[in-house]
Amino acid sequence: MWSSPEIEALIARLARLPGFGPRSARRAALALLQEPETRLKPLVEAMQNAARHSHTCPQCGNLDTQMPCIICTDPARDQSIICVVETVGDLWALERAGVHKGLYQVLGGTLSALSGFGPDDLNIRGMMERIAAGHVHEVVLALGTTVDGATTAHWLQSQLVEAGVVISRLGQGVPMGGALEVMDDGTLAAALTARRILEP
Amino acid sequence: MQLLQLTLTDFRNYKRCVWNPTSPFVILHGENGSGKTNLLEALSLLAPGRGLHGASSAHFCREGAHNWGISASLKKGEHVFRLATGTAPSNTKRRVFLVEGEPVRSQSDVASLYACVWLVPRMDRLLSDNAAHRRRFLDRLVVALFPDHAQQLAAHERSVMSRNRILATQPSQKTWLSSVEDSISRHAVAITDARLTFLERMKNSAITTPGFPEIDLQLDCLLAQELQRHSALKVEDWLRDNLQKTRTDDQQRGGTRYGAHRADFSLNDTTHGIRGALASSGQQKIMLLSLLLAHAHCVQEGWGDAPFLLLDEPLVHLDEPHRQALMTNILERKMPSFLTGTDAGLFAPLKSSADFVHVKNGFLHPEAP
Repeated sequence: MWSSPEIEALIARLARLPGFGPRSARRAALALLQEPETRLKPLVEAMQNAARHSHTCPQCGNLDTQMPCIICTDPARDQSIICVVETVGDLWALERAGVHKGLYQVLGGTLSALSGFGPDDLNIRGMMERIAAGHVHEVVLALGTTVDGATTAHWLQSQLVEAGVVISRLGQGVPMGGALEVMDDGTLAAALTARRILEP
Repeated sequence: MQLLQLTLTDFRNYKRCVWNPTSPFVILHGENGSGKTNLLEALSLLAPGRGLHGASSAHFCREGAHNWGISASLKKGEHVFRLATGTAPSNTKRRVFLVEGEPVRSQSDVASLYACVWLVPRMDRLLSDNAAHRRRFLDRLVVALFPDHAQQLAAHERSVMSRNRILATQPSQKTWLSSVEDSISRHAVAITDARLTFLERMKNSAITTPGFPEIDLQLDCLLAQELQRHSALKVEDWLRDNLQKTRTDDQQRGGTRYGAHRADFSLNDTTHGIRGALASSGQQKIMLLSLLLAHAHCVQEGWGDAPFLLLDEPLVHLDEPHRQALMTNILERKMPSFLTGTDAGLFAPLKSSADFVHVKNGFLHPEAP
């Protein structure tokens, strides 16, 4: 071991974070320790603040420092459309794109019998309450196209079919800037199935 | 497709091996346990799946090492690319694929770049043994023609396993079961359709392999019968209904009765009127080689490149005329092939065209032409 147990513990903690490996964790730890005033201490403070004040929104499952979250309490957002996503990361991605102006529902995972994640583990209570209150017109299923994502979408559709809301899902097919000749057959088939008639 | 370079690192009995073959035909010869089959296994692992031994990733690592890797430089048409697989240093349990050094998005991406089929001694009685082994063999042939088939198979397998788990642990979750059964139905129909299209392609290409008998390949599968009579959507509905009806039975049996995993195939020698299931080891081997050679030709016609033929001890159980016919076919049809044997002398007809490599204790010794 080249460094003290405290520094090794810091590296080990960093290495457990997504996107980090042993080498990148070591580089990050070194960068923090070399500049404690400008890097390490502000980071510690920001992390303590986040740990102290962040909560899971009881309505949609988003992570925020206020309860309910900033999206659920924003009066400018369209209350009649809920976009269902698997994780908070997916919610952030959609917010980054700035295309969805409605509310969200973060499931916290997808149905996976093999991982022991079942219907009771899906966070849908807030959405069902909003639907029951009659505020919702449309539910957009923005889930991945994996086996578990598709199974979850099918399950949610079954749950919502009698709720009197429009159920939609994200379009599937050719990505922006994609060339057809390099697409796999599945993506091409999905794109052709979901084709749209062009208005004159 | 041609192998330009193969690098093995801590794989099976190879500590470090860099090999640059000069011919598309390679004869690997040496004593038992020298590493001939391990080299074929390495080539088989460059395609999605568990390779020619069906082993798990933990078995590939050389004793005492923590990671293993296989890297190949391949030429497809005019396109030269590097394909690699192995374990990443950060996670020694997880196998990854890299194309040009970048991780691939899905296994279909690998299957569309590289294909190989193999025949190993334990498949000598494939036509009369376990149906699951036969099905896997058939699907490997289908993947070589339709790379997306691999993704459909993986999704179907996961869905069937999920259904079995729900039936065993939470059978009251009816809606969840319906969702999983919907997934099984969609993937099972896509898989069966690909298998049927494959059979049709093989028949339409009317390939005859000189020196080998004519063969007839038939799919034995309830779903295939339904698909030949009804539309795919109707068959999906039919399968969904059957899966729903058989939940109680399947719960007691601990398995799923309907699906693409219940298919089987039969292969018969129509020249001599021999049924594969009743044939001797030698006859079965002749039929399988005839099928592999026809398949390679069919893929070559469709994609311009034949898959790699990995033949472990192919001359065992074969009589002299069929040995000669095998080597003549490989040469004349220019099929990239890797053949192993303990006696190099048996491959003498290939002497002027193939690379002869003596394998000894995990080292390769290419012989001068």
